[in-house]
Amino acid sequence: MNSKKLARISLLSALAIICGYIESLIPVVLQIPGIKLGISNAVILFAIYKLDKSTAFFIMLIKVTVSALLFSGVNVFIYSICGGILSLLVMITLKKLDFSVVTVSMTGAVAHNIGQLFAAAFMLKTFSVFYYLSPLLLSGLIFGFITGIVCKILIRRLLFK
Amino acid sequence: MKKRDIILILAILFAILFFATSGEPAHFARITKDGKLYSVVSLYENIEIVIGDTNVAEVLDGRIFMKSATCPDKLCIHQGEISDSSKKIVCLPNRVVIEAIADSNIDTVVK
Repeated sequence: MNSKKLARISLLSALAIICGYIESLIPVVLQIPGIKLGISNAVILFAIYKLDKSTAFFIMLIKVTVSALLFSGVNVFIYSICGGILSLLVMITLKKLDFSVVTVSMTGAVAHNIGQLFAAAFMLKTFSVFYYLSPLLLSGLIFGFITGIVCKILIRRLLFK
Repeated sequence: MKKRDIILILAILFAILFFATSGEPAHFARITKDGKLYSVVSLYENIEIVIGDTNVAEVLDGRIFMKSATCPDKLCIHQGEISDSSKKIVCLPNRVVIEAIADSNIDTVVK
């Protein structure tokens, strides 16, 4: 790893962590836990397009670990990492299948929510968490769309991250 | 934004609608008469329930339905069987409501 790559990874990781913090400051729909702005997903998506898959995975790992250490706790770590891994896999696959950036972002956000829901179902040992599935899917689509458009512009305008 | 993108998004939207309209699979049924709780029965024991002197409900194989009623329109009987929390059986003239619920206590509180 050269210093250029190290700098890029550090920058994106820090950005992703800050995005996570901002997300926690802006409450969206308090009744349904798990609805988030999803801007950290945009950072990971950006990494997938501008760098390579394993780097993006590494950045996601750093984001989830540091965020959990700094802000929340072990429980949140498990939810986040499940959501992060599923979302990363989905986004990488969809990018390879040549879907548009906005679609990849939307589906990635949806996958993130589904991953978190499965983790919650496993941790709490109940399937009743899936009661929240539809509002979570819908918010994933909506916020994924917004972050997807922003990410698309950034991918096009920012040269070689 | 190609055709495959639209298809994928529509597929997710359909999934949303599908999950939004299906209730939780039920293990119990709550029967209220005149607004007051009459009985909570398990859906796993086939049983006939006499509700007051106006209605009879029956549990059969995890589903519950109105078997007989003294109301003139018999709409409650035509409502058929319910087995998830998205539907109820209501007999308006006799003020009987049957709901399928997942948990016999209060709704499960997550977190």
